[in-house]
Amino acid sequence: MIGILCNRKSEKTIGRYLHNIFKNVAKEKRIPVIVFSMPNTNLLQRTVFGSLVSEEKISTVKVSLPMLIFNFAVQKRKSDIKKLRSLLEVENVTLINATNQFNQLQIMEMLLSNSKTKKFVLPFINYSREDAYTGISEKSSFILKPENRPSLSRIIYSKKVDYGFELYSLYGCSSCHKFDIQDTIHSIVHKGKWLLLKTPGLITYKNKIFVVRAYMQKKPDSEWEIVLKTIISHNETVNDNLAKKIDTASLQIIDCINCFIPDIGICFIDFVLDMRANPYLLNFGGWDDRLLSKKQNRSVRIKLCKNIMKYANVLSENGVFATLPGN
Amino acid sequence: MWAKIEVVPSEYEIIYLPSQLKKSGYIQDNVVFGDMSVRSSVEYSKDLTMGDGSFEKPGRIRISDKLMKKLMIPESLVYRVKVTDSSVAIGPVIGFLLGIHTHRYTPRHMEKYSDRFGIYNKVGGLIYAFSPKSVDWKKRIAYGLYYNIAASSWEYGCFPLPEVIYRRDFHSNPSYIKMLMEITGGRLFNSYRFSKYELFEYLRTDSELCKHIPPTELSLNFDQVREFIDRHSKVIFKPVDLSRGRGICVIEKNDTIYKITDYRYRNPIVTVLYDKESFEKFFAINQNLFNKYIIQKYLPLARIGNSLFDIRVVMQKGKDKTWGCTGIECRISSNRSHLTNISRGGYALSLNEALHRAFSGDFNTISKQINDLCLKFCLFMDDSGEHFAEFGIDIAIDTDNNLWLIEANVFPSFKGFKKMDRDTYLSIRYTPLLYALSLTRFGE
Repeated sequence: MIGILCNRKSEKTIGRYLHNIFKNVAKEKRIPVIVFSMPNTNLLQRTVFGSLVSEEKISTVKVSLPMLIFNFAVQKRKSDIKKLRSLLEVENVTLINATNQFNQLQIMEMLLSNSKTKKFVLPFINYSREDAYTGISEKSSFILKPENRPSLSRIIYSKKVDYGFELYSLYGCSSCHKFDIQDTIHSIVHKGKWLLLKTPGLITYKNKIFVVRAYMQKKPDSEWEIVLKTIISHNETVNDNLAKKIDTASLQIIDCINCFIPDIGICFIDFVLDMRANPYLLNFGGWDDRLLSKKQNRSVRIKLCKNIMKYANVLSENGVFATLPGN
Repeated sequence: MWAKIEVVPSEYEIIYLPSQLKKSGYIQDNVVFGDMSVRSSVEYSKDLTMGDGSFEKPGRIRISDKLMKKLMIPESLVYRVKVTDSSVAIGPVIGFLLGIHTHRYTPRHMEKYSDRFGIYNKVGGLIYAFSPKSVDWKKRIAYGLYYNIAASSWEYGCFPLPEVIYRRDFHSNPSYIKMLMEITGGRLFNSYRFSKYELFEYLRTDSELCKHIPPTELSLNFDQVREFIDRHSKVIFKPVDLSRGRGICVIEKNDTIYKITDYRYRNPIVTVLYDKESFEKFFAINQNLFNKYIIQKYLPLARIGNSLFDIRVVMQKGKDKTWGCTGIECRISSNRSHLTNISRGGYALSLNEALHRAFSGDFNTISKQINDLCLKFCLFMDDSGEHFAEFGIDIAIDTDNNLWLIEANVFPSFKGFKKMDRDTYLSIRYTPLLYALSLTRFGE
């Protein structure tokens, strides 16, 4: 049995939704799929309560903890995050995408250790609200992003211009005089840990920061496949020339990160581009709900689900899901 | 010799050593670093210095960039170099074996290991931390974080498997541990963590040690537990695989009245039950006390004032590969608590201070008895077939001056030492690295 761990609120919706895609695939492969959430997981009893997707129907059942679980959720409550950690320690259970939120500093440090990937990392420093008071107006163009998780909506690209800075985000652009930049930045970074990335001039488009997202998943042969590339800031498709660069960068990046964090099965990488369209890492994340959204091409969703089933099948044919070490 | 490495460009695998290291009549044709061995040319040069044989003033060797890459040697460290009849060894390479939460192993996470590196000038080489999940078993390499002494920071990298492994986590799949034991030829220490019950079962097989084990059973069902309580009047429930006083519950029977002090909650809850029905109902509600719990006779322990105390003895193997006591402290419970754990409000005192306060007479005999018991315990654990090099042993003394083995943890915390005696704390932190060095090809 395969488990799909999702957020509590979306358990029913995702269950119904996955049913549409999974019912045929599951039938074909004869592997039942259970969609469940963390609060409905009992680690002591090793059971989950959720929606069983099989053949023609979805039924609500309590079953044993599945031996293979794909994590399609981001846990927000402390107790659920703790439970996710404990789930990883349960014997004979393989948890794919066990990381709740990827720390962006960690990802950049990993990439810097590899000669092939360090070129994708912009020079960076740790940044906090106290730092906002020192010398920000003298800085050249920079990006501010949260350290603890990939958060596209909170990223600011600050482009140096004559009078001060133009501030680009996912939602648009605003101008800021150099005398005001300190207060503006201070209000952005007032909470949490941040990273300041020194940037060359970056491509902006329609008054927004231009961000390309590549979604990737691991195939049963352990190779990585890019399932979708999108200009996520503008919801547009990526042209062929750019696509090649993004493909190369994405594969090199995931090959590096996957060596250190081997249980990643599905992930996304966000890139910003300099004026020559060279990609730089902006964010690295695990599961993204957008992949299953109805706005997405149906073939992408089917491909994703089929691949999950194939992956499960290969593991089950090997006799065990979790107990054998190896890459 | 101690050496810093100078990297030279070359398309060949070459190492250049000071001519003083040359062994006449022998030709070395491979270079070894950790588990990795690469065939290479070994050249000797008069312009390379030997240094003065210390970490502080190391000599110089040259290695081609191609060989550096193949051996995966971080350039910035200071290494020991040893020439044998057929090979040149660079090292040592020592590993900290972490758990399976690979995404949590960041340079920031590793900072808690940094104080161990106060002894780095006596060890040298590459010391890195890795998860068994990030090992490439085919290539026999591991992805992890190494301590860059020059920058005082932890950095990601890829390295050959270590010569010696210091296990720091006990949630890994046993098959990983078995494989690493094989690869290192048994030089993975702290290879196993006994659960509390397993440990007591094992210790019972020794005629001497079994005298120091309190009556203990695995908690299975209500009837068995009731009978145990009837027999011993006061008992303590302990989770089989938790430490630091977590999950404890104490039950005391007085005629038909049961007093339950439950430490499973942040603030202990005291419940008094006046009949057997209520008592049975308590267990019906708290079924998890029959799941991975032991039940143990509550010993009439010696006290300091109103407080209970126990003794934490740290036993470690040192650079001479033998067991020794590297730290000893007494942990005193906060007023009226059954728990002495520092994490549960207890505080630490030196052994002498505690024994002096608890026993007004001569307590030197007790000190010696404690030492003898701990040594006996460690030697008996060596016979278990596992590789141990560190124990935190909890000893209690009852009102008749008998010693009791309460618990032994292969992964003890040293919070009391950290607060009470910084030098002892650091010595405890350093000793495993010195032991690890003694197991490498560079051990004296």
